[in-house]
Amino acid sequence: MSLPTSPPRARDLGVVACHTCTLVCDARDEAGRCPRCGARLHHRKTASLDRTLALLCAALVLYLPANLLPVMRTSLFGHASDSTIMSGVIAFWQAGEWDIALVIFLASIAIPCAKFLALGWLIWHAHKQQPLGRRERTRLYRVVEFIGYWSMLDVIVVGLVCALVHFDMFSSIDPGPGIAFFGAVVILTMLSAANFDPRLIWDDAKYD
Amino acid sequence: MRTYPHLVVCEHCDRVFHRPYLARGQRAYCPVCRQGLPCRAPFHCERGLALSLASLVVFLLAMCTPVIHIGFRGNYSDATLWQSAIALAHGVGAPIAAPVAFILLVPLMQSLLQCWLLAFAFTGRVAPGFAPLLRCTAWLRPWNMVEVCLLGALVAMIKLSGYLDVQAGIGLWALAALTLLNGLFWAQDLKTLWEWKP
Repeated sequence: MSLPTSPPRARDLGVVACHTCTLVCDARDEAGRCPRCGARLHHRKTASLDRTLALLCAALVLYLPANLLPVMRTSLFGHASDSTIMSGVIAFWQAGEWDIALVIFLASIAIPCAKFLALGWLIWHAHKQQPLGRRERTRLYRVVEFIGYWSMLDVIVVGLVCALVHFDMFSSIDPGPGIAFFGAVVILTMLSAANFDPRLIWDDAKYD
Repeated sequence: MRTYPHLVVCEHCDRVFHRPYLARGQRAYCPVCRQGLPCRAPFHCERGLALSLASLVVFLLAMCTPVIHIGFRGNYSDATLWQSAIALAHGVGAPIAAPVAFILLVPLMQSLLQCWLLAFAFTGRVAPGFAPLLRCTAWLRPWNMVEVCLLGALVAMIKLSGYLDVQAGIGLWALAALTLLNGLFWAQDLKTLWEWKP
Protein backbone atom coordinates (compact mmCIF):
# COMPACT_ATOMS: atom_id res chain seq x y z
CA MET A 1 0.00 0.00 0.00
CA SER A 2 1.31 3.41 -0.97
CA LEU A 3 -0.10 5.29 2.04
CA PRO A 4 2.19 5.85 5.05
CA THR A 5 -0.58 4.88 7.46
CA SER A 6 -3.51 2.93 6.21
CA PRO A 7 -6.92 4.49 6.98
CA PRO A 8 -8.99 2.55 9.53
CA ARG A 9 -11.76 0.18 8.46
CA ALA A 10 -15.34 0.89 9.47
CA ARG A 11 -15.57 -2.56 11.03
CA ASP A 12 -12.58 -1.91 13.33
CA LEU A 13 -13.97 1.46 14.44
CA GLY A 14 -17.34 -0.04 15.35
CA VAL A 15 -19.23 1.97 12.75
CA VAL A 16 -21.17 0.85 9.69
CA ALA A 17 -22.12 2.80 6.58
CA CYS A 18 -25.71 2.31 5.42
CA HIS A 19 -25.59 0.45 2.08
CA THR A 20 -28.53 2.51 0.79
CA CYS A 21 -27.95 6.12 1.87
CA THR A 22 -24.25 5.90 2.95
CA LEU A 23 -24.89 7.48 6.40
CA VAL A 24 -22.26 6.31 8.92
CA CYS A 25 -23.99 4.78 11.98
CA ASP A 26 -23.00 3.15 15.24
CA ALA A 27 -22.58 -0.59 14.68
CA ARG A 28 -22.99 -1.70 18.29
CA ASP A 29 -26.73 -2.10 17.87
CA GLU A 30 -26.84 -5.41 15.99
CA ALA A 31 -29.42 -5.73 13.19
CA GLY A 32 -30.32 -2.07 13.58
CA ARG A 33 -31.92 0.10 10.95
CA CYS A 34 -30.54 3.28 9.45
CA PRO A 35 -32.21 6.25 11.18
CA ARG A 36 -32.22 8.25 7.93
CA CYS A 37 -33.52 5.86 5.26
CA GLY A 38 -34.81 2.87 7.24
CA ALA A 39 -32.66 0.26 5.47
CA ARG A 40 -31.27 -2.62 7.52
CA LEU A 41 -27.63 -2.02 8.52
CA HIS A 42 -25.03 -4.69 7.85
CA HIS A 43 -21.26 -4.74 7.52
CA ARG A 44 -21.24 -7.02 4.47
CA LYS A 45 -23.93 -8.11 2.01
CA THR A 46 -25.75 -11.19 3.34
CA ALA A 47 -24.30 -14.55 2.20
CA SER A 48 -22.53 -12.64 -0.56
CA LEU A 49 -20.18 -15.36 -1.85
CA ASP A 50 -22.81 -18.14 -1.70
CA ARG A 51 -25.37 -16.11 -3.60
CA THR A 52 -22.88 -14.87 -6.17
CA LEU A 53 -21.65 -18.40 -6.82
CA ALA A 54 -25.16 -19.89 -6.97
CA LEU A 55 -26.36 -17.31 -9.52
CA LEU A 56 -23.15 -17.68 -11.52
CA CYS A 57 -23.58 -21.49 -11.69
CA ALA A 58 -27.20 -21.08 -12.81
CA ALA A 59 -26.06 -18.69 -15.55
CA LEU A 60 -23.31 -21.10 -16.63
CA VAL A 61 -25.82 -23.96 -16.98
CA LEU A 62 -28.16 -21.83 -19.12
CA TYR A 63 -25.26 -20.57 -21.24
CA LEU A 64 -25.08 -23.94 -23.06
CA PRO A 65 -28.64 -23.95 -24.50
CA ALA A 66 -28.26 -20.21 -25.15
CA ASN A 67 -25.46 -20.95 -27.59
CA LEU A 68 -26.66 -24.29 -29.00
CA LEU A 69 -30.34 -23.47 -29.63
CA PRO A 70 -31.36 -21.11 -32.45
CA VAL A 71 -31.98 -17.48 -31.49
CA MET A 72 -33.82 -16.65 -34.73
CA ARG A 73 -35.80 -18.57 -37.33
CA THR A 74 -35.88 -16.92 -40.75
CA SER A 75 -38.64 -18.01 -43.12
CA LEU A 76 -38.31 -16.63 -46.64
CA PHE A 77 -40.77 -17.90 -49.26
CA GLY A 78 -41.25 -21.21 -47.54
CA HIS A 79 -37.56 -21.79 -46.77
CA ALA A 80 -36.89 -21.81 -43.05
CA SER A 81 -33.40 -21.50 -41.59
CA ASP A 82 -32.27 -21.31 -37.98
CA SER A 83 -29.42 -19.18 -36.77
CA THR A 84 -27.54 -19.36 -33.48
CA ILE A 85 -25.52 -16.55 -31.90
CA MET A 86 -22.24 -17.86 -33.30
CA SER A 87 -23.61 -18.54 -36.80
CA GLY A 88 -24.83 -14.91 -36.92
CA VAL A 89 -21.33 -13.65 -36.14
CA ILE A 90 -19.78 -15.97 -38.75
CA ALA A 91 -22.32 -14.88 -41.40
CA PHE A 92 -21.39 -11.22 -40.91
CA TRP A 93 -17.68 -12.03 -40.90
CA GLN A 94 -17.93 -13.96 -44.16
CA ALA A 95 -20.01 -11.19 -45.74
CA GLY A 96 -17.05 -8.89 -45.09
CA GLU A 97 -18.83 -6.84 -42.41
CA TRP A 98 -16.22 -7.45 -39.77
CA ASP A 99 -17.15 -4.37 -37.68
CA ILE A 100 -20.72 -5.48 -36.99
CA ALA A 101 -19.47 -9.07 -36.48
CA LEU A 102 -17.08 -7.71 -33.85
CA VAL A 103 -19.84 -5.78 -31.99
CA ILE A 104 -22.07 -8.88 -31.81
CA PHE A 105 -19.12 -11.10 -30.88
CA LEU A 106 -18.09 -8.75 -28.05
CA ALA A 107 -21.60 -8.27 -26.65
CA SER A 108 -22.85 -11.86 -26.97
CA ILE A 109 -19.82 -14.10 -26.55
CA ALA A 110 -16.76 -12.24 -25.21
CA ILE A 111 -18.51 -10.25 -22.45
CA PRO A 112 -20.52 -13.17 -20.96
CA CYS A 113 -17.42 -15.43 -21.00
CA ALA A 114 -15.25 -12.68 -19.48
CA LYS A 115 -17.89 -12.18 -16.77
CA PHE A 116 -17.91 -15.88 -15.88
CA LEU A 117 -14.12 -15.92 -15.56
CA ALA A 118 -13.90 -12.59 -13.70
CA LEU A 119 -16.63 -13.40 -11.16
CA GLY A 120 -15.21 -16.90 -10.62
CA TRP A 121 -11.76 -15.37 -10.04
CA LEU A 122 -13.17 -12.76 -7.62
CA ILE A 123 -15.14 -15.37 -5.63
CA TRP A 124 -12.15 -17.72 -5.39
CA HIS A 125 -9.72 -15.05 -4.17
CA ALA A 126 -12.23 -13.45 -1.78
CA HIS A 127 -12.86 -16.93 -0.36
CA LYS A 128 -9.10 -17.53 0.08
CA GLN A 129 -8.69 -13.96 1.46
CA GLN A 130 -5.76 -13.53 -0.88
CA PRO A 131 -3.97 -10.29 0.10
CA LEU A 132 -2.23 -9.72 -3.26
CA GLY A 133 -3.72 -7.68 -6.10
CA ARG A 134 -6.61 -6.28 -4.09
CA ARG A 135 -6.68 -2.97 -5.89
CA GLU A 136 -6.61 -4.73 -9.28
CA ARG A 137 -9.45 -7.05 -8.26
CA THR A 138 -11.52 -4.07 -7.08
CA ARG A 139 -10.97 -2.50 -10.51
CA LEU A 140 -11.95 -5.79 -12.17
CA TYR A 141 -15.20 -5.79 -10.17
CA ARG A 142 -15.97 -2.26 -11.33
CA VAL A 143 -15.41 -3.35 -14.95
CA VAL A 144 -17.70 -6.40 -14.49
CA GLU A 145 -20.43 -4.17 -13.04
CA PHE A 146 -20.07 -1.72 -15.92
CA ILE A 147 -19.99 -4.09 -18.90
CA GLY A 148 -22.61 -6.51 -17.58
CA TYR A 149 -25.75 -5.07 -19.11
CA TRP A 150 -24.32 -4.55 -22.61
CA SER A 151 -24.93 -8.25 -23.32
CA MET A 152 -28.67 -7.48 -23.37
CA LEU A 153 -27.93 -6.05 -26.84
CA ASP A 154 -28.63 -9.30 -28.67
CA VAL A 155 -32.06 -9.69 -27.04
CA ILE A 156 -33.05 -6.17 -28.15
CA VAL A 157 -31.74 -6.80 -31.69
CA VAL A 158 -33.68 -10.07 -32.04
CA GLY A 159 -36.84 -8.43 -30.67
CA LEU A 160 -36.60 -5.51 -33.09
CA VAL A 161 -35.77 -7.64 -36.14
CA CYS A 162 -38.64 -10.02 -35.38
CA ALA A 163 -41.06 -7.12 -34.90
CA LEU A 164 -39.95 -5.56 -38.20
CA VAL A 165 -39.80 -8.46 -40.61
CA HIS A 166 -43.41 -9.63 -40.91
CA PHE A 167 -44.46 -9.00 -44.50
CA ASP A 168 -46.80 -11.88 -45.16
CA MET A 169 -47.12 -15.47 -44.11
CA PHE A 170 -44.20 -16.48 -46.35
CA SER A 171 -41.46 -14.15 -45.20
CA SER A 172 -40.98 -13.51 -41.52
CA ILE A 173 -38.36 -13.77 -38.77
CA ASP A 174 -39.36 -15.32 -35.45
CA PRO A 175 -37.51 -15.56 -32.13
CA GLY A 176 -36.04 -18.94 -31.23
CA PRO A 177 -35.72 -20.59 -27.80
CA GLY A 178 -32.02 -19.67 -27.57
CA ILE A 179 -32.76 -15.98 -27.02
CA ALA A 180 -34.81 -16.71 -23.86
CA PHE A 181 -31.90 -18.70 -22.43
CA PHE A 182 -29.45 -15.98 -23.44
CA GLY A 183 -31.55 -13.26 -21.79
CA ALA A 184 -31.75 -15.36 -18.63
CA VAL A 185 -27.93 -15.73 -18.65
CA VAL A 186 -27.48 -11.94 -18.85
CA ILE A 187 -29.97 -11.27 -16.04
CA LEU A 188 -28.49 -13.99 -13.81
CA THR A 189 -24.91 -12.72 -14.26
CA MET A 190 -26.09 -9.17 -13.49
CA LEU A 191 -27.75 -10.40 -10.28
CA SER A 192 -24.63 -12.42 -9.48
CA ALA A 193 -22.38 -9.35 -9.81
CA ALA A 194 -24.84 -7.26 -7.74
CA ASN A 195 -24.67 -9.83 -4.92
CA PHE A 196 -20.86 -9.81 -4.79
CA ASP A 197 -19.59 -7.58 -2.00
CA PRO A 198 -16.32 -5.85 -3.03
CA ARG A 199 -15.51 -5.27 0.67
CA LEU A 200 -14.78 -9.00 0.88
CA ILE A 201 -11.77 -8.42 -1.41
CA TRP A 202 -10.23 -6.32 1.40
CA ASP A 203 -11.17 -8.50 4.38
CA ASP A 204 -8.45 -10.33 6.30
CA ALA A 205 -8.59 -13.72 7.94
CA LYS A 206 -9.07 -12.15 11.40
CA TYR A 207 -12.78 -11.58 10.67
CA ASP A 208 -13.60 -15.29 10.58
CA MET B 1 -28.60 5.41 17.50
CA ARG B 2 -25.52 7.61 17.11
CA THR B 3 -24.69 8.72 13.60
CA TYR B 4 -21.53 10.33 12.22
CA PRO B 5 -22.46 12.68 9.35
CA HIS B 6 -18.91 14.09 9.27
CA LEU B 7 -17.49 10.70 8.21
CA VAL B 8 -17.63 8.84 4.93
CA VAL B 9 -16.93 5.15 4.28
CA CYS B 10 -15.62 3.80 0.97
CA GLU B 11 -18.25 1.48 -0.50
CA HIS B 12 -15.64 -0.85 -2.00
CA CYS B 13 -12.98 -1.28 0.69
CA ASP B 14 -14.73 -0.15 3.91
CA ARG B 15 -12.12 2.52 4.86
CA VAL B 16 -13.27 5.49 6.93
CA PHE B 17 -12.40 9.10 6.05
CA HIS B 18 -13.39 12.58 7.16
CA ARG B 19 -16.08 13.77 4.76
CA PRO B 20 -14.54 16.41 2.49
CA TYR B 21 -16.56 19.43 1.43
CA LEU B 22 -16.94 19.26 -2.35
CA ALA B 23 -18.09 21.87 -4.86
CA ARG B 24 -20.35 20.97 -7.79
CA GLY B 25 -18.56 18.74 -10.28
CA GLN B 26 -15.83 17.77 -7.82
CA ARG B 27 -15.30 14.17 -6.74
CA ALA B 28 -13.27 12.55 -3.97
CA TYR B 29 -11.62 9.17 -4.51
CA CYS B 30 -10.59 6.55 -1.99
CA PRO B 31 -6.76 6.53 -1.90
CA VAL B 32 -6.74 2.81 -1.05
CA CYS B 33 -8.93 1.29 -3.80
CA ARG B 34 -9.52 4.32 -6.09
CA GLN B 35 -13.31 4.05 -5.90
CA GLY B 36 -15.24 7.34 -5.92
CA LEU B 37 -16.30 8.12 -2.36
CA PRO B 38 -20.06 8.52 -1.74
CA CYS B 39 -19.84 12.22 -0.94
CA ARG B 40 -20.82 14.71 -3.63
CA ALA B 41 -22.10 18.25 -3.87
CA PRO B 42 -25.75 18.65 -2.73
CA PHE B 43 -28.34 17.66 -5.33
CA HIS B 44 -29.47 20.48 -7.63
CA CYS B 45 -33.24 19.85 -7.54
CA GLU B 46 -34.21 22.36 -10.23
CA ARG B 47 -31.79 20.90 -12.77
CA GLY B 48 -32.76 17.32 -11.87
CA LEU B 49 -36.47 18.10 -12.14
CA ALA B 50 -36.08 19.74 -15.55
CA LEU B 51 -34.09 16.78 -16.89
CA SER B 52 -36.62 14.27 -15.45
CA LEU B 53 -39.56 16.07 -17.07
CA ALA B 54 -37.72 16.20 -20.39
CA SER B 55 -36.90 12.47 -20.12
CA LEU B 56 -40.57 11.72 -19.50
CA VAL B 57 -41.64 13.41 -22.76
CA VAL B 58 -38.76 11.93 -24.77
CA PHE B 59 -39.47 8.48 -23.33
CA LEU B 60 -43.04 8.57 -24.66
CA LEU B 61 -41.68 9.47 -28.11
CA ALA B 62 -39.05 6.71 -27.95
CA MET B 63 -41.63 4.07 -27.04
CA CYS B 64 -44.61 5.11 -29.19
CA THR B 65 -42.97 6.13 -32.45
CA PRO B 66 -41.27 3.69 -34.86
CA VAL B 67 -37.55 3.17 -34.27
CA ILE B 68 -36.87 1.67 -37.71
CA HIS B 69 -38.75 1.69 -41.04
CA ILE B 70 -38.04 -1.04 -43.59
CA GLY B 71 -39.15 -1.54 -47.15
CA PHE B 72 -38.92 -4.59 -49.38
CA ARG B 73 -40.28 -4.82 -52.96
CA GLY B 74 -43.05 -2.34 -52.32
CA ASN B 75 -43.93 -3.70 -48.88
CA TYR B 76 -43.34 -1.40 -45.93
CA SER B 77 -43.11 -2.12 -42.25
CA ASP B 78 -41.98 -0.36 -39.10
CA ALA B 79 -41.60 -1.26 -35.45
CA THR B 80 -41.53 0.53 -32.12
CA LEU B 81 -39.43 -0.71 -29.20
CA TRP B 82 -42.58 -1.79 -27.43
CA GLN B 83 -43.56 -3.96 -30.42
CA SER B 84 -40.19 -5.70 -30.17
CA ALA B 85 -41.10 -6.88 -26.66
CA ILE B 86 -44.44 -8.11 -28.02
CA ALA B 87 -42.65 -9.88 -30.90
CA LEU B 88 -40.53 -11.77 -28.35
CA ALA B 89 -43.72 -12.88 -26.57
CA HIS B 90 -44.89 -14.74 -29.71
CA GLY B 91 -43.05 -18.00 -30.03
CA VAL B 92 -40.88 -20.32 -27.99
CA GLY B 93 -38.79 -17.55 -26.43
CA ALA B 94 -41.82 -16.04 -24.71
CA PRO B 95 -40.47 -16.10 -21.10
CA ILE B 96 -37.89 -13.42 -21.99
CA ALA B 97 -40.61 -10.97 -23.11
CA ALA B 98 -41.58 -10.09 -19.50
CA PRO B 99 -38.08 -8.99 -18.37
CA VAL B 100 -37.57 -7.13 -21.66
CA ALA B 101 -40.88 -5.29 -21.17
CA PHE B 102 -39.78 -4.45 -17.61
CA ILE B 103 -36.42 -3.16 -18.85
CA LEU B 104 -38.15 -0.98 -21.46
CA LEU B 105 -40.40 0.52 -18.75
CA VAL B 106 -37.57 1.24 -16.28
CA PRO B 107 -36.78 4.72 -17.73
CA LEU B 108 -40.48 5.63 -17.35
CA MET B 109 -40.60 4.45 -13.74
CA GLN B 110 -37.36 6.30 -12.98
CA SER B 111 -38.58 9.57 -14.53
CA LEU B 112 -41.90 9.38 -12.65
CA LEU B 113 -40.17 8.69 -9.32
CA GLN B 114 -37.63 11.46 -9.90
CA CYS B 115 -40.36 13.95 -10.90
CA TRP B 116 -42.38 13.10 -7.77
CA LEU B 117 -39.42 13.37 -5.37
CA LEU B 118 -37.83 16.43 -6.97
CA ALA B 119 -41.06 18.37 -7.52
CA PHE B 120 -41.74 18.23 -3.78
CA ALA B 121 -38.12 19.04 -2.94
CA PHE B 122 -38.30 21.97 -5.36
CA THR B 123 -41.25 23.43 -3.44
CA GLY B 124 -39.41 22.84 -0.15
CA ARG B 125 -41.43 19.85 1.08
CA VAL B 126 -40.63 16.19 1.70
CA ALA B 127 -42.51 14.03 -0.82
CA PRO B 128 -44.95 11.46 0.63
CA GLY B 129 -43.16 8.10 0.66
CA PHE B 130 -39.77 9.83 0.31
CA ALA B 131 -37.57 7.08 1.82
CA PRO B 132 -39.06 3.98 0.11
CA LEU B 133 -39.32 5.78 -3.26
CA LEU B 134 -35.75 7.08 -3.13
CA ARG B 135 -34.62 3.54 -2.26
CA CYS B 136 -36.57 2.36 -5.32
CA THR B 137 -34.60 4.69 -7.61
CA ALA B 138 -31.32 3.13 -6.44
CA TRP B 139 -32.77 -0.32 -7.03
CA LEU B 140 -33.96 0.51 -10.57
CA ARG B 141 -30.69 2.16 -11.63
CA PRO B 142 -28.81 -0.92 -12.97
CA TRP B 143 -31.82 -1.97 -15.08
CA ASN B 144 -31.91 1.23 -17.12
CA MET B 145 -30.66 0.07 -20.52
CA VAL B 146 -31.49 2.98 -22.80
CA GLU B 147 -28.02 3.07 -24.35
CA VAL B 148 -28.13 -0.69 -24.96
CA CYS B 149 -31.48 -0.25 -26.74
CA LEU B 150 -29.95 2.51 -28.85
CA LEU B 151 -26.98 0.35 -29.90
CA GLY B 152 -29.36 -2.59 -30.41
CA ALA B 153 -31.49 -0.52 -32.80
CA LEU B 154 -28.38 0.52 -34.73
CA VAL B 155 -27.15 -3.09 -34.96
CA ALA B 156 -30.62 -4.22 -36.13
CA MET B 157 -30.55 -1.51 -38.81
CA ILE B 158 -27.15 -2.60 -40.11
CA LYS B 159 -28.18 -6.25 -39.91
CA LEU B 160 -31.22 -5.68 -42.14
CA SER B 161 -29.65 -3.11 -44.47
CA GLY B 162 -28.00 -5.93 -46.44
CA TYR B 163 -31.37 -7.25 -47.63
CA LEU B 164 -33.88 -4.42 -47.22
CA ASP B 165 -34.27 -0.66 -47.48
CA VAL B 166 -33.79 0.65 -43.95
CA GLN B 167 -34.57 4.10 -42.54
CA ALA B 168 -34.22 5.53 -39.05
CA GLY B 169 -37.51 6.55 -37.39
CA ILE B 170 -38.35 9.27 -34.88
CA GLY B 171 -38.03 6.68 -32.12
CA LEU B 172 -34.33 6.23 -32.83
CA TRP B 173 -33.65 9.96 -32.46
CA ALA B 174 -35.76 10.02 -29.29
CA LEU B 175 -33.72 7.10 -27.97
CA ALA B 176 -30.49 9.01 -28.65
CA ALA B 177 -31.92 12.09 -26.89
CA LEU B 178 -33.02 9.95 -23.93
CA THR B 179 -29.50 8.52 -23.62
CA LEU B 180 -28.12 12.06 -23.53
CA LEU B 181 -30.69 13.28 -20.95
CA ASN B 182 -29.98 10.25 -18.74
CA GLY B 183 -26.27 10.96 -18.92
CA LEU B 184 -26.82 14.57 -17.89
CA PHE B 185 -29.11 13.52 -15.02
CA TRP B 186 -26.65 10.94 -13.67
CA ALA B 187 -23.80 13.46 -13.72
CA GLN B 188 -25.29 14.31 -10.33
CA ASP B 189 -25.61 11.63 -7.66
CA LEU B 190 -29.26 11.12 -6.69
CA LYS B 191 -28.04 9.53 -3.44
CA THR B 192 -27.11 13.02 -2.20
CA LEU B 193 -30.87 13.69 -2.00
CA TRP B 194 -30.80 11.69 1.26
CA GLU B 195 -28.98 14.64 2.85
CA TRP B 196 -31.60 17.11 1.63
CA LYS B 197 -33.66 18.83 4.31
CA PRO B 198 -36.68 21.12 3.76
